[in-house]
This record gives sequence, structure tokens and C-alpha cells, in this order.
Amino acid sequence: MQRFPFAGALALVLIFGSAGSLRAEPTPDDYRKLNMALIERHVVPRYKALATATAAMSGNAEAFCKAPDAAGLASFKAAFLKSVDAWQAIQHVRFGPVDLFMRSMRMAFWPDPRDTAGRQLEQVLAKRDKTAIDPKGFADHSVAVQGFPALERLLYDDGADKALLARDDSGAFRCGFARAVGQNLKTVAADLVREWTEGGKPFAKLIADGNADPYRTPKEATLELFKSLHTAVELVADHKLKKPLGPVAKRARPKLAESWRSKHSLANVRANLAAAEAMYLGEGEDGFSAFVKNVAGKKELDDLLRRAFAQARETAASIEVPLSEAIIVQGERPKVEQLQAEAAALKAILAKDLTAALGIPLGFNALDGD
Amino acid sequence: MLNRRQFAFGLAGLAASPALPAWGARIEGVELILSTATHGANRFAVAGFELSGHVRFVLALPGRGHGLAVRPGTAEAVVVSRRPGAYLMIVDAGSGRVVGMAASAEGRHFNGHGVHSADGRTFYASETEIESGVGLLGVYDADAGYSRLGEVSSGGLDPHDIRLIDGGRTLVVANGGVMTHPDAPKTVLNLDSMDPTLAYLDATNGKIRTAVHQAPAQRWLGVRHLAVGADDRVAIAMQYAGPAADTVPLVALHRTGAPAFRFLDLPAQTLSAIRHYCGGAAVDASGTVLGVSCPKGNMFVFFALEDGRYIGKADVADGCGIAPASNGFVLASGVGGVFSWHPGTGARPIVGRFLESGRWDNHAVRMTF
Repeated sequence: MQRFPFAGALALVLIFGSAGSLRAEPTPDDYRKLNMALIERHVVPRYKALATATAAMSGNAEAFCKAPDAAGLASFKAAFLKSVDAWQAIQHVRFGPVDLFMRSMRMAFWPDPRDTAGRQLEQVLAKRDKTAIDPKGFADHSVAVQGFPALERLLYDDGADKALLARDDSGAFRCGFARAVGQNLKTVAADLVREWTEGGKPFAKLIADGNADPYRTPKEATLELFKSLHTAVELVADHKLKKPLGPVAKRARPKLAESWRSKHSLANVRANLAAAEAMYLGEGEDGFSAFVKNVAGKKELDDLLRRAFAQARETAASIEVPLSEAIIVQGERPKVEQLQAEAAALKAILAKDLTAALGIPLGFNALDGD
Repeated sequence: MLNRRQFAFGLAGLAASPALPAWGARIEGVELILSTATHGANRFAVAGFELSGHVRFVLALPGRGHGLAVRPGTAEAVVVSRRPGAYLMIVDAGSGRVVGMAASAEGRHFNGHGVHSADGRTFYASETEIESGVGLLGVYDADAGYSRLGEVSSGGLDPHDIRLIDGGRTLVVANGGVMTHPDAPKTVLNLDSMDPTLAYLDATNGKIRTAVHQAPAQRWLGVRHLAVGADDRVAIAMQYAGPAADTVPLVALHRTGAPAFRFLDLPAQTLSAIRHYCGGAAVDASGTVLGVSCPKGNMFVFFALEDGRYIGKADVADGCGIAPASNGFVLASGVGGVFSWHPGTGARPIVGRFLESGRWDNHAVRMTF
């Protein structure tokens, strides 16, 4: 038997949710306050953390490639995983500077069901094209090989250690390419921080003003932030869990999990859910939760969402083996199935009820077009 | 394969030019609007209703439906499953019954749209070969339970809407250009190599005559939905996969043989509010007014086909389904409600509890019989 502790409450909200509030329409200032709190406390700090982590990793890559040894490789890998964690904590933001120059895909080309990254990486490594490891030529190569998934292959594929430590031409080229990916991640992350916070028109200011394109009203920027929250949960429910799970254990597909090579799939899911929960609760104060309670006056919805996030967090924490094993191991698979169901339910509440509370109703044609 | 292909197109024939062009059908008996609907995560339907609001039938679908095609000169309609789709469902709108089902071919999925040949005997569905991502038109024998006869190249990736022009001699295919995969829902997998096209195929043999490509600066502008004017001009409703901050046109016209699309102007505020996304297109019964749905902008926009000028909009929350009516258009909302629209009157709700409560999905179509 699976439990869905908030499913009953969800039904109640679906039935009675729209009748509750007698409050006045939210004002532009209500939206502006929410936007600024999320930008200043959630988005920008996380991009800064990403820039710090990728800069450190890039340094590790430089050092390792100069004198490849086992200790250097271990440091490189540890720095890589820290960078992955930093990316997973902000990958749900798809608007603003990350939307330009295909940066989101250059950071992480995923999902990748046709293994484009793998195929193109093999080609690059086979050709040993010098332009591929030159910072200027690197960006002209396929976006699929420019980010975390390609670097994960270089560090964690079968035989990766041996190849990187071989101290031959092939090893030197692999290392050179890994270093170039690290450098690219560092550069993109630094560009993101700069464009969010500096220059004549920092993106954070465009959102704060909310009176000209791309956001002519603060409410339009709130919609973008909502979509980021929704994306975090949707990626977990529909991609990161549902696809590897498959319909039954026998048809599980572990290689559709993200970061399965580094056994980091579950860490990613936990980081994504934590990021979504932080966005909802607010980093300290003034997240979506405060708006739902204080502006929309929907305390029951706030309680429901808090419970839903907490439940998904607890379920995610209860899984004890890597995701690629959990989806086929008898005692663990039900937990993953439960987590997927909880994430899907959470997504549904966000799409229907949180949008209503925020005054930004999104129909399914708008949210899920074709 | 060549034999199958020739066989398929041999059947399509040209002997019977359509007695009535699609945009000019007279109302002889019944005028029905068919629309797909989605209620919750797992309840999908197709409904047939009259402009009075009277609902003639509601039929459950085995999965989410998308586009609909009317078999010329009959009361038969095909509901095409949404990408990555697994079925065609054949409906007799006269009796309101399901009269057939067809499954997607091995290794291919439906992309949500299809069209019959002018004589109604052949059905073409836009499809994708899953592993390669190659775009196809599947060819089906409408006289034999929609059994699959073969397939031809669609002339690009991600074929979506299909229409018939030129008295039935030419198929027009919107190749969205976006590469996807069922294992990666809603993800664009080829942003760095997108090449959307509008392809014209010879309906007698399936050969691609020409393909109009987006200009390189607009390579992220997917060609997705089509409508055809009285003079066979093709109207294209597009979707942009590039950065949200870009300003790009979204509606275009194309006349056979022209080297490029002719983009239509919209007021800057309206264009911005549409948020890079058009969901469908239709031309009214007179063949002179183009309507385009913009669900992310919660509106429909209308143009005069004569000179391409913008003539107005209708604000409809999550509006996506659009079909010609005897007078103007029928507009359907994803949050409930169906409206009739005419340039003179604007949008007026069609009264009816079912229409008002329906969650109307992407597409609607008009049929008369």
C-alpha cells in the first residue's frame, strides 16, 4: 500500500479552493516584493555559489592536467560533484541571462535520450581536434559536449581514471577537453552572475522595475518565477524519476536517470526538491508562501503545500541506495514510485492552485502546448 | 519500400476533385464543431457540439488527443493522438460513435495532425521515427480501416500540421524543426541545429517539390500550424524556441513558389503578450479572415488575408481551439467556455453547461453533413 497523505487534502482544495478568498486583488507592490525577495535571496546567491564552485573546479582541472595523479583526480572529481550540486540548486531557473546564447543547454544538455553528448564526445576525442580544447574554438562545438554531462563522462565512464592518468597523447587530450569544459562552465557561471547583478541594465533591476520589456508588470516576472518553481518539480516528476522508473521494475531504465555514472541521480533530485521548497517557503522570508498566506489569504493551501514539500523531502531522504539501483531493488522501488507520485501531485497543486492564489491562472494549453 | 510508396499514392488518386473546397462548404444539414478535451491527468475526450451549444456526443479517448481531420464529403472524422501519439480514432459524427482505431506503426509516433486526400480515400498523418527523429508522413487507407500503406519523408524534422491545397494535388507540411524524443517530454533536443521548413509535397507521388526554410536569424521559429485561404495561400502560426527577450514575428503567409515567408505585423504590445507561442490557426468560411490562437497570451488574433493586416483580437483565457463557423469562428478555452467570434460582434459565449465546464484542448474543427 502506498500512502498519499496530502491527496485527500488536494481533492478538498480542488473542490473548495476557488471559493475561499474575499481579499482584494494583489497590488503590483505585492508582486514586486515577492519578486525581489526571490531574486535577491534565492536566484542571485545560487548563481554566485555556482560561479564559486565552477571556478574552484576549473582550478582543480588545471592543476590535475599539469601533473595527472590519483590525488589530483580525486580532487577534480570532488570539485565536479560540488559544481553539479550548485547547478542542481539553480537549474530550474530558465529565464533571464541563462536563456541567452543557449547557456542552459551548454551548462547541461539533459535529458539526452539519443545520447548526443556521448556520440559527439566520442567524435571529438577520436579526432583530437585542437580547436576543441582551445577556449576560443570550444564554444563552436556542439552544445551537447560543453557542460556537466560531457564532463561526467570524461570523469566517470568505464576506464575514465585509467585514460586520464595514462600520461599519453590520448590522456592529455581527454584532460585538455575536460579542462576546457570546466573553463566553459566557470565562464558561463561568471557571465550569469555579472548579467544578473552588474552593468547598465542588470537583469535583477529589470525585474525590480517591472515596467518595460521583458516584464511590463511585476506580475509578469512573478509568472517567470512561478514557472521556475514548477520546472524544478516537473523535472523531478516527469523526467528524473518517471522515465528511469518505467512502468514496472522489469522495464526500469536506469540509464535514463540523470548523473547515473557518478551515482549522483538521487542527490540531484534532492537538490531540485530542496530548491523548489526553498523557493516556496522563501529563503528566510517572503517566498511564495508569504504571498499565499498574507496576500491571497489562503492558509489552507499554504498548509497543504508545506506538507506536500515536506512529505516529498522525507520520501526522498528515505531512499537508501543509488537511484539506478533503487528502481529495481525490491524494498526500495516502492519508495521511488511514491516519490514520483508525490512530485506529480505537488506539480498538479502548483499548476492549478498556486497559480490561482497568485492571480496568474495558467491553462493547460498555455502550460503544456504542442 | 518504393513499391509500398507508389501503391500508397496510387490509391490517393486525383480523379475526384473535391466537390466543395474545405473553406466553402454549404450548410446542408448539420454544422458541428468537434474538439478534443482534457479533464484532469487521465480523462481525455472528443466532443461534437452544435453552434447552439447542443452537445451531440462525447467520446472517451484512449490517450490525449490533439488534431482532427474531416474526411471530405462524409460525416467521418479522425482524431489524431497528441505527440508522441499512439492512435488514430475514427469517429462517425452522424451517429456519434467510434467506428475504428489504428495504432502507430512500429518505431513511429503520431505527431497530432493529419489530412485526407481530396477523394477522402487516403489519410496522411504527420509522424516521427522515434530513434532517428526523422520526420515522416504515414499513409493510410481510409477505405480499409486506416491500415497503413507506407510512408514518405516530410521534408524536415518534427512534421506537425498538414493541409491539402491546389485542388488536392499538393500537400503542405509544417516541419516544426524541433527534435524531440518520447523519453524527454517537452524538451528541444536540437536547439543548435534547428531548421524549420514549410514543405510542399506532390500528393500524387509523395515527392517533395519545395521546402521553404526559415532565414538563419529565425532558425528557432518553428513552423507548426497551418490554415489555407480561399486563394490557396498558406497561413502559418509559429512558435519560437529562442530566448524570451527576442522580438520575433509569429504569423506568416506563404504563396506557392514564393522564396520566403511574408510575416504579418502585430501591435508591439500584443506581439509581446503572445509570448512566442501560437497554438493553432483557421481561416473563416469565407476564406478571407485568418484567426490564430495564442493561449499563452490568453487571446486570439485575427488578420485580413486580402492584405495581411491585423484586424483585432479576442481575449479568451487559455484559448487554443479555433474552427471556422458559418459566420466567423468558434473559439475554445482551456479553462472552460466556447465562444463565437465575428469581426462585427467580437467574442460571445455559446451557452451550455458542458461547453462552459469543458477543458478544451488544443484543436477544434468544423464539419457539415
